[in-house]
Amino acid sequence: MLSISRRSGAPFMLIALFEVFGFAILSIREGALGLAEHLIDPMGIILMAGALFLLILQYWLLPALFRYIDRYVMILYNTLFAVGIVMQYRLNAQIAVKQMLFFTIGLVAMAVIIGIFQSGWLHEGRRWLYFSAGLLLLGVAMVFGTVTRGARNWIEIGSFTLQPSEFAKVALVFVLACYLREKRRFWGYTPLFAFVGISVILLVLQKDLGAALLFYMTFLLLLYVATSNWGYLGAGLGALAVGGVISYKLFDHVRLRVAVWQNPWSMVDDGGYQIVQGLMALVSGGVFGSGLGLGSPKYIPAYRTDYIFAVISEEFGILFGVLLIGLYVLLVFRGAAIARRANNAFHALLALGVTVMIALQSFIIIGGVIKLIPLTGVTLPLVSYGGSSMLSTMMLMGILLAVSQENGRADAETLDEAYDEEEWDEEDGDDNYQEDDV
Amino acid sequence: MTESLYNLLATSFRYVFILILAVLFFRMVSLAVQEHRWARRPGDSAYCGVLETVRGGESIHYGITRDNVIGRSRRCDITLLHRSVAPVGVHLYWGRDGWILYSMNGRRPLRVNGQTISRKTCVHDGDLIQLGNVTLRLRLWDEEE
Repeated sequence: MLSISRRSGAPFMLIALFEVFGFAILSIREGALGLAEHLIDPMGIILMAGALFLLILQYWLLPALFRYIDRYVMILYNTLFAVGIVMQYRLNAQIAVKQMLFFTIGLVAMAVIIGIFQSGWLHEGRRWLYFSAGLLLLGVAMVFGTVTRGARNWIEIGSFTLQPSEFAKVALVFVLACYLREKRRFWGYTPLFAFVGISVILLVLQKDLGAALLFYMTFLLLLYVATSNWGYLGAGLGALAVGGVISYKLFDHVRLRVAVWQNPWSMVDDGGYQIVQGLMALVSGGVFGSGLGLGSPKYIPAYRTDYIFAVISEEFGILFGVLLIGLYVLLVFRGAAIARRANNAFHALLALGVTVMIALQSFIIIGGVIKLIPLTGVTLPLVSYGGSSMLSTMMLMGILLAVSQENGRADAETLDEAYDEEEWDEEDGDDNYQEDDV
Repeated sequence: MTESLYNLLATSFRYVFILILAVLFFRMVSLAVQEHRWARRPGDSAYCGVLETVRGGESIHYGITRDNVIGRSRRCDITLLHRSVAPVGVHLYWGRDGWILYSMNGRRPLRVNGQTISRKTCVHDGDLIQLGNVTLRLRLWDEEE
């Protein structure tokens, strides 16, 4: 990508400016409101320095390590993270420190993925590795999982907790790219159907409906993109409708979610409280917001994770929320552009898989918060608090950047290698073109 | 600082935050549109800059894409109507190390900013490229910012 490599300075400066203003205002909040002894919270200054350091480090180091990675994607994920980290600091300083740590680990994981991808180790021949990794992660959650907010999708390792379904998303993207890169007859896709079927059933049994919907829709959209077969898409959507009806009949929590979505106001004390508080937060903020640190986010359950969009819209305003959605849209367009420029079907499907996953996840949670669709608990990528979510999203960004790196390298080397390997026959220079003399 | 001062600060800065995100968003949209125009595809005539005639030849601005063969031949992407220019003179393209000028004809001298080039060199915005008796100034829109 030519132009962005030299024009990314201004957007990076804007991200830095946002972080400086955000942390500066919030670091004096508690002192000004009489909640702390000192006027300035040193943690805010430390976090600001940390966020700026990570931004500058990425700006210089990543393109130095990987010359052709797409800085456009870098700007977008850094903007989303900047909004998220400022909001997390506003909600709880300790949580913000953890979130920054998760982002740092995520950056390392992203760089490692780009490096491994560049070495050629993550190729389409390792389908059984991706296949077994995905099922193992979901199986572990099923067997050893602990129940958190109704879903059995967390496992505890010592003092750490992990959400394996988040990492299974990365495996799913690889499995889909491996199986869909070449056209097959219907039965040729049987292992893929089995993988997706088992994954979705395990997720539904764990009551992780958001992840189940995300897995299934990613599979369906990629299947359609790879095969251009309307029959598969129609049958898939039909199966989704049938599955939805069966889940509605079988599971109480699904019936409750739908009822709450239809009329949360009539069920405020019986499951509708979260949606009502979220909607009230959106309305109370108005177009321009109540001001950073002046809202009442803690009335909303899951305000740090699933409902972070409502919290952001309350304090920064609905206009800001719309712009935030716009950034996800740009990320989706960019991902599609990277997929379109890919050198082979495997790379194209990997990039598209990541893009579809991010697009669906953002749509599912923002749609749930604004009551467009029934609420299912997934995180808002790069903004919500959560180590597993942050790490898996950064791994997905790593895949996208790795494909962009491969695209750029192939483009530039096509011309360079032609000249490195072949010497121009000087005699031919004039002789072959004599007829064109003017 | 009192509570009222903080309230004033926070309510004032909400416009600043929206402005920062809006500028960033529209900047990214503008970059995407520009890149779309410059995208290298067969038959795409999107330009990354121009070559201005400084001396010799016709006084013309030649639009350059990311891959251009320059010479006297009509088969070249940019045709310089001057006897001193080789039929296939140089290849100007976006490569590993930025903009590369590659001499495709060893007989006729190629000079960049007065220095004779044997084979291949990096070029930048404002460089003077001399092909035979024609001197051109490279103007890259990308590097001007």
